[in-house]
Amino acid sequence: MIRIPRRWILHILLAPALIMILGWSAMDTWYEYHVPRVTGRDGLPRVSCLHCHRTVNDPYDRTAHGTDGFPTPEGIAVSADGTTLYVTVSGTDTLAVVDAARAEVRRSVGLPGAPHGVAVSPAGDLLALSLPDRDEVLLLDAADLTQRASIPAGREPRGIVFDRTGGRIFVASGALDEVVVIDVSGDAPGSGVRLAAGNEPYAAALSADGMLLAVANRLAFPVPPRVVPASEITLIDTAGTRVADRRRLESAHLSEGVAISSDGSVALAPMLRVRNLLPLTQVARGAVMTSAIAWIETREGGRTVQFPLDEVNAYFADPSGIALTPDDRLAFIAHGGADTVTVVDLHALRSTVRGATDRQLEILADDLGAARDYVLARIPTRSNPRALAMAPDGRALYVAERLAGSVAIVSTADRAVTARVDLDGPRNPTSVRRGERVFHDASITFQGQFSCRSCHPDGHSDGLIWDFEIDGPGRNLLDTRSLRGVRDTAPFKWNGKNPDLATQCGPRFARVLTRSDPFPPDQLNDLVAYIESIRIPAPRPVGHEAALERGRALFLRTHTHAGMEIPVGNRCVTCHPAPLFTDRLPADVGTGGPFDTPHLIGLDATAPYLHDGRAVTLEEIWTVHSPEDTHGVTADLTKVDLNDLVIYLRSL
Amino acid sequence: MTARALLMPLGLAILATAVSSGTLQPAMSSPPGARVLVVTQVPPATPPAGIATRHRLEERYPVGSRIVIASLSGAAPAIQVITEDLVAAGSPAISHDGRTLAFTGRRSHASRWAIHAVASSGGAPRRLGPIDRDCADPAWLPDGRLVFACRDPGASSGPPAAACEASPGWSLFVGRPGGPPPERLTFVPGAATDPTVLRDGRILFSLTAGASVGDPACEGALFTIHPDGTHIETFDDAHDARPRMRPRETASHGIVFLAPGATGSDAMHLDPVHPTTRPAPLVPDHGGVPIRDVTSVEPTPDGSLLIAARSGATGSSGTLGIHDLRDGVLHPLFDSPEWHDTEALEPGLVPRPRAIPAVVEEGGDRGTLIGYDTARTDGTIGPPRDGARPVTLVVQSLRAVPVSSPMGAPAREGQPGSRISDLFTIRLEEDGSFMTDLPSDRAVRVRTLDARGETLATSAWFQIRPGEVRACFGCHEPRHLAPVNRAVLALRSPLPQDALPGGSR
Repeated sequence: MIRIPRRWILHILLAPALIMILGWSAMDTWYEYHVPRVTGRDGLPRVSCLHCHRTVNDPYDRTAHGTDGFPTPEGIAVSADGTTLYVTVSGTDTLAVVDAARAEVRRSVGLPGAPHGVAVSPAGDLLALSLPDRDEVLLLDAADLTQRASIPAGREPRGIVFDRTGGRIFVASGALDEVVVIDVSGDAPGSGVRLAAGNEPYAAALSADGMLLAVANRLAFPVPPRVVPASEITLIDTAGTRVADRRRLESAHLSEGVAISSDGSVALAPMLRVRNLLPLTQVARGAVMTSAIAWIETREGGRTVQFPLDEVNAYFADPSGIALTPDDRLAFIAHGGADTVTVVDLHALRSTVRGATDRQLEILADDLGAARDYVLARIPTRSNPRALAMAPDGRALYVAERLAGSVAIVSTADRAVTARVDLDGPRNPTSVRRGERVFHDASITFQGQFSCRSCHPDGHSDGLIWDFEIDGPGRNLLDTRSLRGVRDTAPFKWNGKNPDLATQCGPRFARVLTRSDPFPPDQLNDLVAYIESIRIPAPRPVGHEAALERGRALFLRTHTHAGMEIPVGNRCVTCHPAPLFTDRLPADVGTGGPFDTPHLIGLDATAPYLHDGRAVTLEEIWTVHSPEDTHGVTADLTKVDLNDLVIYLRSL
Repeated sequence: MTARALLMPLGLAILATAVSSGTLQPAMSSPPGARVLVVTQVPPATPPAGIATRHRLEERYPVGSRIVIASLSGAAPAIQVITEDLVAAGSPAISHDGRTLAFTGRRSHASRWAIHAVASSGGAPRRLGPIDRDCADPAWLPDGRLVFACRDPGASSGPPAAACEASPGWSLFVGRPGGPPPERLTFVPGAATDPTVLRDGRILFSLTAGASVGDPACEGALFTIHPDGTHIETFDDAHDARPRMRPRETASHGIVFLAPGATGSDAMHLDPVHPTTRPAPLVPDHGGVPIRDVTSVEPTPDGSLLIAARSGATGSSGTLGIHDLRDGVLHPLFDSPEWHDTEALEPGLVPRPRAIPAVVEEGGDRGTLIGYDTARTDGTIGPPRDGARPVTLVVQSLRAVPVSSPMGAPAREGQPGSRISDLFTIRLEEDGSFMTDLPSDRAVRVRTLDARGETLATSAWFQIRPGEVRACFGCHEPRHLAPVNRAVLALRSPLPQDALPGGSR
């Protein structure tokens, strides 16, 4: 038996304690000198070595996404004879061909990427599909589903329609804020004219005579704090291939669908009417946002009216797709957050507009007692209905139940689901998929008034500035942050006080925002898993390579043009180091901070900027809101330099 | 052990069995298919109290009133009394998990009406308290607490002289069986009674108050309030000369309530989605059988309504009985000839209402009131003045004199001992907006004045809780209007913190 001397035992016991004491002291000393030296800032919260010295996952990782593997119907088109449905299915990246009469999938073909919109040519021989992640439109032969062509279509193409001849395709190119016109009449299809739309064009509809194209733009234009936001319905003259009119929708955003009456006199677009300029003192009585449908008379000087779809104690969040019966009597609107389709009497809308003054219509937009005059029915559906399509004879409505992986067939006469098509794919949801449903489900809020998605469409940002009254009404204006790529960017919240997403979405979130039960633990875990899975679209080449390289050099620079060394704490790269482009530490950039340093990935799509959205453009960050070089040293930069810097940042 | 001590556990065991099945399966002592009801029975010698005397517990539940569990099996229902130890009891309420029964009762003629809770698994009833008031009408909150109405100390319980003046003041309280002293929720004048919990988490209750200062005439209305006492507001804009009592939410999210009618009390129905529409009689005349003297309407777990009323189709005793309104057809269900059956519930599992997180700051004494546009009004609370715009705002308080209770005696407008005082005056912004701090937990109201100092509008009495930030979209604006999205000046250029006596910002 080995005998251990008594004094060794003492040493064995004391050594770890001594090591811990010395280690702690060393870390403390190291922290006092190392962190300020690297960050150029004093007084930062104490963080571990791993805060900076760690390996993060690739922020451009495209494999982790909530819909991956699960059938997620995004778009529906109906053949001219009404017998066949073409359903674009993300998650499985397929096009499902559905027998409408038998309510079953007839065939399913794989696609090179996740599809979104789908359109059938007037002759019925071609299918056009938008692939947002690939910035392409695919042309398929409708008979055998073989690929005819793959055509560049701007950036993140969404809504897609053929013109009346079938010779052109109009594509809402979301990330470019443009409508791309693609000529498919010849042997070499290609994109040509590009028309400026609103902020993130998302859906398009063509009038029956083919002369008018209406485009719904999903987001409001970026505006500074305390300014009423507005989005736009873009009306395009297809004959002249020019923008005919831009209709302003005040306090509106999240328009994801549009339809035109058969006589072309009215365009209709579901939308959210937001009240972001008022403090978030309550949810009740539509104080945060309400669902609505925009009525746009297409003639020159025609009226633009917003009709509420919510009622005093009944709310139907996240209106999205829309379809009209061919006789223009009914409109059907899908509510993704309420698992409901609303049926609207269009005659009632028309007579209301005719008989009301402009002032009366202005008041009507906020009148939650109005819907009883034109809402005929509410049809329950499965999870997250978004895209709708109407049968040519108007007897059946097809509803893409997006997060249920199914298409519901609704009898427009009975106003009830009569059949359902389950799309091919796995059925047992993972934690991420369950979390995606929670994220899109408005029942989390008081009276079901809005969902996470209402402010973070598809995990991104609504681009709005909200008044969080928790620090005093009017004193805490905050720009909505994108959730894309937030997985590795803890802490969260603009003040950086939430160490993880579970805290961010925890009980305080319920108390301040949703005003209802906090998420149960299992739902919270699923929700966090989903949010962590939200990816950033892969970076696209922005062109201007030389300018981009000059901008990169400016971003990394350590000296001014005059040769003066820039203090470490005031260099771009100090607070925004790769790969996430944030050091995840608070910084005071002269805007009333300190605030959590946001990551810069996907920056191009997150205007406005700074914690309260005071900078409408990237350039304004330095030219307007950092005159004393409180946000990096930029006073010596020329206009060309700033352009270069912006180009570099937009490439991230 | 006494027979009484054995009866209560037995009755509760029946209740537990009925509830635990979740589908209203027969109780252990009942034959298959039997329904189980929790019924309040009032001695027939005393005419059942109508709505006009609902505020007087002594008449609603005279001596001998009791709560029983009735197992309906054939012609001879089995009855188990569960309030044997009390001289009077009533207003039963079953928790959402079906495990606990709450009710009001008094142990002697001299004792207070107290809220009791008893578990369906047995055991002695636990009295909610301590609270030095008469309390009734408990309703369960989703977190297991009870909200109930208590008669204010000093309020008259004598015979009525005029409807509103004679009605005692009542306030809502919340408390947990076996928990700390109940907390007061309402501080507004009048009688806040008959709380029920809506599925969205709000408390819906009846408020009967004087129409104006010193006015003996009553106005009845339905109000909602959050479980922490914040966001008190009218439910449907209506102020009716008829009180609106005992509201309940139906399975289809409708609201039923009782109101005095031509031949007793009517059961009325209100569509909460369109609350601005007038209420309609629930059962005006079905199959030629008029329903008279309705004393309660309670939704059942499977969507029908239990109606306690006198009906020509229910026996010949002339006593009140229980009816089941199912799919528009009224079925006589239970009628004890020796008793008036004035209230009935059916045990079963019902969805737990949503919870609304509390925002009240412990120990605070102020809240914040924001007005977005005081010129936005429905024109019902002040004389219309063309072109006149509000320029100042007077904040008034209603105080009770003297304070005689640890929880503070409530004040009633027009009541001797109450006093209306101006707290402070503030200047409105150009756009009609304002923001100010208000003292919390007392009745306050605001009055807008034009440039000449003439009153344009006076709000109803309301309250603000400590730390609450309350926004008024207008000044007595129509409730169906959502606010207009605009940057109001009061939020853009807040007033100095110490500018005004009220601590205006």
